[in-house]
Amino acid sequence: MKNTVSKMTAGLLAAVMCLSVGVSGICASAAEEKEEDPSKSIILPSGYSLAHFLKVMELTGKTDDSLSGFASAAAAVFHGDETLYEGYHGYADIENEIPADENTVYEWGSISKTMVWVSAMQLWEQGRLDLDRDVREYLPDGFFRHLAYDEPITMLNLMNHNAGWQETTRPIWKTEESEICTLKDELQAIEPVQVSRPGEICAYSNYGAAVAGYVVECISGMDYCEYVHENILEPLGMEHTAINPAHSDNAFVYDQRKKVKSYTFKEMLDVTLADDVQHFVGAYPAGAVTGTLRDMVIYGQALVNDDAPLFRNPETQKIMFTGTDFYGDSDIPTCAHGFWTQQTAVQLYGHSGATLFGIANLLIDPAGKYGFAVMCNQTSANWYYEYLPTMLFGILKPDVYGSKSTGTANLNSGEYVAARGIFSGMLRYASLLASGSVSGEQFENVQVIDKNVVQIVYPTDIEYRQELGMEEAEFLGLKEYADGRTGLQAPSCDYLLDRWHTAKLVLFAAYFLLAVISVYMVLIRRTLKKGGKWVKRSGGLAVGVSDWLRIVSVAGVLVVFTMAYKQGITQAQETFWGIVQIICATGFCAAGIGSLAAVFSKNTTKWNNICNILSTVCNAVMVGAIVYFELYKFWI
Amino acid sequence: MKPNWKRIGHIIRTDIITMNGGKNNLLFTVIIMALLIFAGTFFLSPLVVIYAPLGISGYFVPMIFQNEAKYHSEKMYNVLPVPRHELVTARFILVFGVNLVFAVLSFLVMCLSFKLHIYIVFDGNDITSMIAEKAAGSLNAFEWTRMMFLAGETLAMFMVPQQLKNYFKDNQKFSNKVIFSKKGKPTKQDIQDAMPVVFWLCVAAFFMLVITGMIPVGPAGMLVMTILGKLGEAMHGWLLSAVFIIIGVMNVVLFYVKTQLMYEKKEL
Repeated sequence: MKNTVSKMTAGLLAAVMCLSVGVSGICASAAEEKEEDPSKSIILPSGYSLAHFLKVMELTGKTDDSLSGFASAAAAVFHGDETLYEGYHGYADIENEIPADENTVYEWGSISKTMVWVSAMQLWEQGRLDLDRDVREYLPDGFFRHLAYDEPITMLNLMNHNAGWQETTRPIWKTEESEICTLKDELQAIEPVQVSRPGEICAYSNYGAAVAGYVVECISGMDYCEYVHENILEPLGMEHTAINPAHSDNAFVYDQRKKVKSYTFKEMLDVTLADDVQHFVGAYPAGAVTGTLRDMVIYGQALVNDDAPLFRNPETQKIMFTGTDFYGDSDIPTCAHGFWTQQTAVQLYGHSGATLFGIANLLIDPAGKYGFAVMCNQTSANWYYEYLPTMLFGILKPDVYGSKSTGTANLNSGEYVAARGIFSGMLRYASLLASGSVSGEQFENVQVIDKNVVQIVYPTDIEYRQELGMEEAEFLGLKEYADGRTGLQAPSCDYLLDRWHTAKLVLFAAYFLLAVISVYMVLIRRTLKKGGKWVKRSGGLAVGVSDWLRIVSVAGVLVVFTMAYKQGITQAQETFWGIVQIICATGFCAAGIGSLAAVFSKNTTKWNNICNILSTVCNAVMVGAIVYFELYKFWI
Repeated sequence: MKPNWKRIGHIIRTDIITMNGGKNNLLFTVIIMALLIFAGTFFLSPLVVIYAPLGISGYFVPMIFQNEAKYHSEKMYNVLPVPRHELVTARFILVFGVNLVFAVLSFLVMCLSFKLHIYIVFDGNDITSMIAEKAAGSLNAFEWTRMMFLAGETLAMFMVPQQLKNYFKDNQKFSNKVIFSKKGKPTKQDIQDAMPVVFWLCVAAFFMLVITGMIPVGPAGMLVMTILGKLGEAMHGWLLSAVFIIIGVMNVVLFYVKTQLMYEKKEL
């Protein structure tokens, strides 16, 4: 009996122990299940889970294997009010090993323009700005001095960057704070020529965006800087952002900016150029905003917030993200009130930025409430800038719009020149050499997806993107302009088919080559004179003078190009070199007449005549180049 | 004085006969070197053809005139009724004729190499494609290599007339050595004459170092690189190639004039 009770007691105790272990085990796994990583359940627009995204960020840490070198990147991903990822990588100052952190400030570059557009929409909401009205009605009388067309320039034209201005050739960067003047004076100093009718050709324009900022200034009655502080930065609590070109409107930014260097990397070898000289943007609404990553995130979050804290009425923000410029004749937007669109797995709105300091990007998906911000203190792309958006937003797969395809298309083959260039004035040849030239032969798989809209399908050639799809697509609009020209339309810039591209290039090359030949002719003539073999002949003076004029003319072009490339060219410099070219052209004409006269003179030989005629022809080519490329045109 | 083209033709034939006479002429060496370079072009990389103008062209003048210098047969022009200017003209035509034929042959070999594509691939990408990708925007590997080859030919058109002028100046000192391996202390004139070749070699080296990123360029350099780059991309590289060739041809003309003047005054 005792043994039985003992056995039963032992068994009962054992059972209780097992049960308690089992229960605790069950409770533990239940607790574990409850604590399961929620990020696994968040699926990003790309299709990746947030967990996967964060794991990649943790494991990869691409700080030394970037596309072309790495200084620092501050990157963030947000969803509504929640920041899903915030990371600071690399160094704000590589030499002194100052790491990038939440206090590091970066330049927004052209992302600053979005504040102009938000400001404009705020004024529109208040009934103080009509987007379809000529902005000259808001500006001081006679503000624009170089317009070529009578058509009104509206705020929508400024937002869509199709007001018709070419790139300015004037200096836009300052290196001394004392050089910064008022926005009005700056705009009037750098005003470029209007080369196309408003509303027709999209050509990204810093000038146009800065004018929009000045319109805000004129309507609001306060400095643009003051307006943005009062209506954007302060309401959102962006306490570490400055908009003034010298950053003097925010002491934190002013101090912190001095601690950050900018870097330029050479592609093939690890050559780093550090620049601790600050460059100030005179036309500051177009690109002077500087601040921390967190402030940019706050700004981005406001733009995806349904409560639209930047506007009185949330509807205004929705309207802001409706298209104002479209691909071809479709309803696929290229631009939404100044925010450029990007087609990925979702439709994005945003803006990138680039200054002499570095690059930045802000992309938002207002429908899904996702957003991405990255800021770098280097002038070339790095891993965070280039690849993170794809990891978050995915790629545009060809079948999304391809299923609606009505067939294939053959794009007009030829050379396309970027509309964002210089088409009038002494640097007119620069558009010929512009890096935006696109050959029509490059496009192979072209599908028509809507009226005057095509989709280019190409293989996804970067390995990690191939996880998202082996092919991706991009859109192009097909445009025909009022003057009969045709072009391709992409966000921020049209590409115009240049029918006479090769002929222009040949003319320009001939202009250069003749100067090269003239250098040798001068050397040969000098050698013959030294050897006592130089025989004076009729027309010889004209030929000799022509050689020197060719050298001077081409040297002038090289000097002007260098100045414009380096820092912009002032009116005084343009005037001087324009007069030099006029003198050269006059000299060519006079020398040509002299050479022709020698042909008809009595004391001449056949060989002499050939030389004189050749010289005349060469002079005609030089004059043709000077006239066609407007090398003389120092006035605008 | 008008040149007598028939006589110039005779001079050229005489030089060819002289070149082939005697033992141990450089013709065999040049042929072997050319074959090695062509083999490299086929089996290693088409880029090897760039060594053809740079390496072999420097041997043309020694090859053609080695025997004449060795056996002092230039003295016969003291007694033959051959005007000096025709002698210079004939030799410039001969040397640059040979150079042109060799250049055309090298070019054809390069084209054939690209067509056959039997050369070694480096890490999955042939070196010409890698360079094309790094250096020029829209030029493909063939266009890039072609342009580099023509740039090399241009350098040859600096080097060869310089050698010919030196040969006319003092053929005994020149003998069968190429310009940079002359014995004896170079004179001031030698240094002056060598300057253009050195200058353009430095330009070529600078260009290559800039392309590969070893030399950072400031705005003035960027301007030159931008213009060169854009001219290089235009018309699939033919435009910049035309620039190179014209520079080369004009340099030949300049040295032809210099050689004429120098030889006219020379005491034989």
